[in-house]
Amino acid sequence: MLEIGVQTHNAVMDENPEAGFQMIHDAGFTCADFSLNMYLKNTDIYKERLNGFFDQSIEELEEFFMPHKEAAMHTGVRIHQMHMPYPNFIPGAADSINDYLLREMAPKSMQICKFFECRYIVVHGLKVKHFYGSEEAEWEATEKFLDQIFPMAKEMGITICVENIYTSAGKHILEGPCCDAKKMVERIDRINETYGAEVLGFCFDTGHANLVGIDFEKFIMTLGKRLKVLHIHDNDGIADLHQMPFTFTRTRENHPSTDWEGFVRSLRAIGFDGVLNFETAPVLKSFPKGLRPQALHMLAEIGRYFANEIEL
Amino acid sequence: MVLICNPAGVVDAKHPGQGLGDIELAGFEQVLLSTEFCCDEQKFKTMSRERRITEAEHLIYVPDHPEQLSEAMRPFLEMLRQCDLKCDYALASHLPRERQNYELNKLIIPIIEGAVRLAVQNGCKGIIVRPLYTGVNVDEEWEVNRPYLLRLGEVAREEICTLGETLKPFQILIENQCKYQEGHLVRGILSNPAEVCEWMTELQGEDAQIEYKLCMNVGSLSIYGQDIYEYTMAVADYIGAVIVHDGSNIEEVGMVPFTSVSSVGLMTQWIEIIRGLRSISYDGPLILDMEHAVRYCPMLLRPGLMQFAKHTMDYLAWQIHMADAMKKYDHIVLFGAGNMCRNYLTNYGEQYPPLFTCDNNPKRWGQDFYGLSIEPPEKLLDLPENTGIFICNMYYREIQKQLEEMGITEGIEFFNDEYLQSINMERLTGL
Repeated sequence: MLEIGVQTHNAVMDENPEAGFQMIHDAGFTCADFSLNMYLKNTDIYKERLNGFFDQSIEELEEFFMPHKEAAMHTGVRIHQMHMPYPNFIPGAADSINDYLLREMAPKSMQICKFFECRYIVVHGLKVKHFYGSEEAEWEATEKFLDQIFPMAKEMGITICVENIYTSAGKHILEGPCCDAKKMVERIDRINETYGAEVLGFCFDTGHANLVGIDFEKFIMTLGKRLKVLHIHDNDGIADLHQMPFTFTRTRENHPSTDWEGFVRSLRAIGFDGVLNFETAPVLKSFPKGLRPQALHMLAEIGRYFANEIEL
Repeated sequence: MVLICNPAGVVDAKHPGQGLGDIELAGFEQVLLSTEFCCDEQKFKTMSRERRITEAEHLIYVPDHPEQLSEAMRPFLEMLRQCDLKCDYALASHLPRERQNYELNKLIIPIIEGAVRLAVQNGCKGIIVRPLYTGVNVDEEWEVNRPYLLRLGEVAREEICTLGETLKPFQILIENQCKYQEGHLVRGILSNPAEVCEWMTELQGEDAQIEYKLCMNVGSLSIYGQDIYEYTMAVADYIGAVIVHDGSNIEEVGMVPFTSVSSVGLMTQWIEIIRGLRSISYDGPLILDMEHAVRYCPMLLRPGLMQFAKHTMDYLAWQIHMADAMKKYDHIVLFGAGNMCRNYLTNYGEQYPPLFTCDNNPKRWGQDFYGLSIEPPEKLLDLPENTGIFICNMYYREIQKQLEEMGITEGIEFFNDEYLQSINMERLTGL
């Protein structure tokens, strides 16, 4: 059966990682998506506030994360994927900030990924189209950033996965980097051929896709085996809520307004054999503390339902 | 560029004269020959009720009688002949998005074929049609639509032959779609540029008389936030018509461009639409769909709204072809020595180099601004023949008045940088 995973944010706390991983395990997950991005939050990066976390040496960082690694091992949870802090470039920010993200944050994230024996790290593409004028120019900037860490990925046996993300203009959500599956296929193949290794793959984010009306089935079918990891979560099509699948409806018939059937069909069609990973940290906030374990159980149940449907 | 008004919401089935008159009065010269006039999507929603209402009004219920489409369209066509409006393009009826019963396609296809015949008979250059989507699975879209769309071409060819106009080309303009996903509108047929290229190439074949083109509906792309600039650039070779309207990010609403806003900005990315159409030098039909804005506007205010809508369409056309004004002159001078002037130089300075710019601030006279000398306004009184004065300052009307008071009435033009890409780039570089 396909394995089920969930992100560690809101579940695993630094003070007692064992308790968090135990809760994840008890809920029925065998994998975790380590939320490295919570150690340098996007809200701080956008404000050009660097908290110094990545100033630490890799030895210090490994020491910091040792309890997390051991807790995961003790509880039988595998760190299958992790999320690099984002954004990794801020248009108009001081060069020192962007340099830091490129030369300190990104390589140390790769080293932490290796430390956790984690196979995949999800990275956001640069959101610069608004300034650079075209998606092509935007991707060039992303590739320039990734080129700095591809050699590490090759050496460490890690696949960097870019995910489909969104941007916004006023109160309207718009497609952002990596939303054209056909282009991404060409780029992934070209880069992997150049490096002679699977240094780049794709992370399909269901919630982001739903926000910008991406047809799940067509997108996943186009990606095929380049699809390595998943961010499964749901929303109302208006805001990036990271909620539990099957939560949102828009009609009196109450059928889900997110195309979960197309999601399952296409994963089955491409023979997806990765981890059904939920990026649903807000679920743990929206339910009261007393119901969080049950909420996690429900997510794992949904994961098992997906797994059964995919493997029919 | 031909500006066309979609009569939906403006012209009603019982008394089409007033609506067509409003369109004409607003300054539009073209209206779509739309069979939605007698058979809009409402007719397919609660069919028994619609049938009863239509018959009670002594009108033809077209879904039951597609062969009577011409008859049902007669009031529209008769009133049209009394106006000074042309119909270069037609629009065929379509089914509501939320219906899932594949059998409904059997009802709409004869109506669409009738619309194609009607379009040919009335001398239209082309007709906008939707692909079939009702009850069509994602993996069957092409298989279902290929024969249907090719058949529409055959219908057009047969009708052209019947009329004896064998050399006249005709366009089947297929509209990109959003898809109804249980109340959520997502990407539908032809929203993927690669799909547009494949479909148009396959359909075109070798028949030069029937052209298959894309009718790019920017409203459908905007609902779910597709990158319209990238889409436009990718499908440039296939665009035969463009439908513009503003709307919401939740449902399909036809509003006048630039009128849908939130507390923090525009809901539609007009900069991306204008940039795209400007980049491909689009010069085909530009069709306004303001159905809901008009439908829910008080009756007595409609003529004013229609006139505003026409101004908006003129503005869009002007933005898309802003360089046309520069081409008219042998020489160009600018008025204004700030951001807008710099944006002129960035975007058009090489192709249309100005002689100088001027500014009302005496302290700046004689200074250099990005290689351009800043002169006093009085220098505009001594310009070579056929020189355009381009106002590069947001206080357009004030400066225009100043120039007119100086006795300059010829060759005053406006430049605008609100819809140029460089405006974002310059913000980035801190200029």
